[in-house]
Amino acid sequence: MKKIFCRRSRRSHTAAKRRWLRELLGRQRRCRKRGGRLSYVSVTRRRGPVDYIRLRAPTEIDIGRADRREYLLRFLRDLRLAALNGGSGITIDFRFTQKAWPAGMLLLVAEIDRALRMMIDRRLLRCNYPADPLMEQVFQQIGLLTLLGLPQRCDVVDEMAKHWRYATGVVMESALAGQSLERYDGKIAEPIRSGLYAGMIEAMANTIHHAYAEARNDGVRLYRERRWWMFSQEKDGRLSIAICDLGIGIPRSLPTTKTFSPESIVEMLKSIGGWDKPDASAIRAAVRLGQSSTNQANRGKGLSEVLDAVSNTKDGSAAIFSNRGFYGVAADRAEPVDREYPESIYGTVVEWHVPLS
Amino acid sequence: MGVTVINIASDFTRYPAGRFRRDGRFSGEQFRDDMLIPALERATGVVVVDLDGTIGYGSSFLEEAFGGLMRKGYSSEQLRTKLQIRSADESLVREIQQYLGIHLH
Repeated sequence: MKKIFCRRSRRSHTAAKRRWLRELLGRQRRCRKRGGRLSYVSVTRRRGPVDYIRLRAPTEIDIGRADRREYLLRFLRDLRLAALNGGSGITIDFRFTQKAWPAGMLLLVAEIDRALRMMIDRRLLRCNYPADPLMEQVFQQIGLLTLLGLPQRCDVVDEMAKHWRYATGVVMESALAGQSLERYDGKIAEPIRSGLYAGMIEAMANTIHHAYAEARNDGVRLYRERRWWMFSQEKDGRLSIAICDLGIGIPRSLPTTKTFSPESIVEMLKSIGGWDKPDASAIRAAVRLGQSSTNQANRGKGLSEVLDAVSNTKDGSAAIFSNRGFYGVAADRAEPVDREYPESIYGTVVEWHVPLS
Repeated sequence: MGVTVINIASDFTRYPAGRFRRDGRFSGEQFRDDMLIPALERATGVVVVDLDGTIGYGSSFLEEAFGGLMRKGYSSEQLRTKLQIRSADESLVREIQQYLGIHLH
């Protein structure tokens, strides 16, 4: 116990924990009063010398649809604050989790992995098995159960689960990215493969060079590692790849990258407009600036290259989620789409979906 | 005057990536400083860089490897006579030409 609380006085720890628990319980009470479904509500119980907070994971893990995103991001906020500020133990309750999409799942795993790396005692964060057998196989396949200290108890046999792959790193792992694509040799055309590879390594480069330039401002202490997380999944004849960082996001990193002059950024934002969706407009500006900068010294294509990966496909698509913004392109759609959500993911997730032959 | 051929896939890596050495293995800086510049210094004739055979290229690798030659003191005129880029993918050759600000052979 002493070790757990060594970074702050017992008194301040107790005050922070009480404040945090009060907020959680207040939210639970308000939710019950409204008659709402308790989809992320937390309960506490005492087990030994440490209070354990049970955080109920969302039923559907996704950041694309607004209602699912809201639940997931609130859950992740609770997880961050409880793991890193609350000084309590946490049990993540996955019993009700039934569906997961790659971008949301990657964000969840990244937040858990980051919390574990930042925690003084990793044993204080644990989970239970999902009730859904497919979800359990997926969690087992990507190593989430092992990460949280649970033994593996089933064989991964389901086609939907056994093609999930997970990786993380702090430098560009080009061989890893390349080999994850070479696994699909014969199923994926060479121009698509090379485009995807270029997109993946440029997404990793953006993470290493720009994503962690400043504090994340997510309510917990500074974490200095420049880490990326990656998923790939083959499902229904399509390959999905997602790369994520838990940094400051493109809207905040764009003015600080020194890749583009402040004047060119302002000019681009003025030409785009969209002041009602500032984060989505910032992503759009970063993509367009990348498209127009290849003939200038010391500049690559940046974000535009990340999205170009699907231009050679028949019906592939690529999307960038960054903070509150979303920007997506599809090979069978003339115009890109963008969207602004009310909540921030505090980072960037890039995902690609390409057809396999 | 002999021709020096560098095949990136067989002489360097199948997985080129990144701009600087600190980004990870097989960066543009590493290729330029350890392979391309020594070859340009040694060669009495043309240096041919063959891009085929790798899994792909990111623009940051290409910019640092080839655009970085200009920052290392090579002029467009020198590179025009001494460097050739070979690739089945013409868009890569054009991209490198843009970084060098010249039209190569």
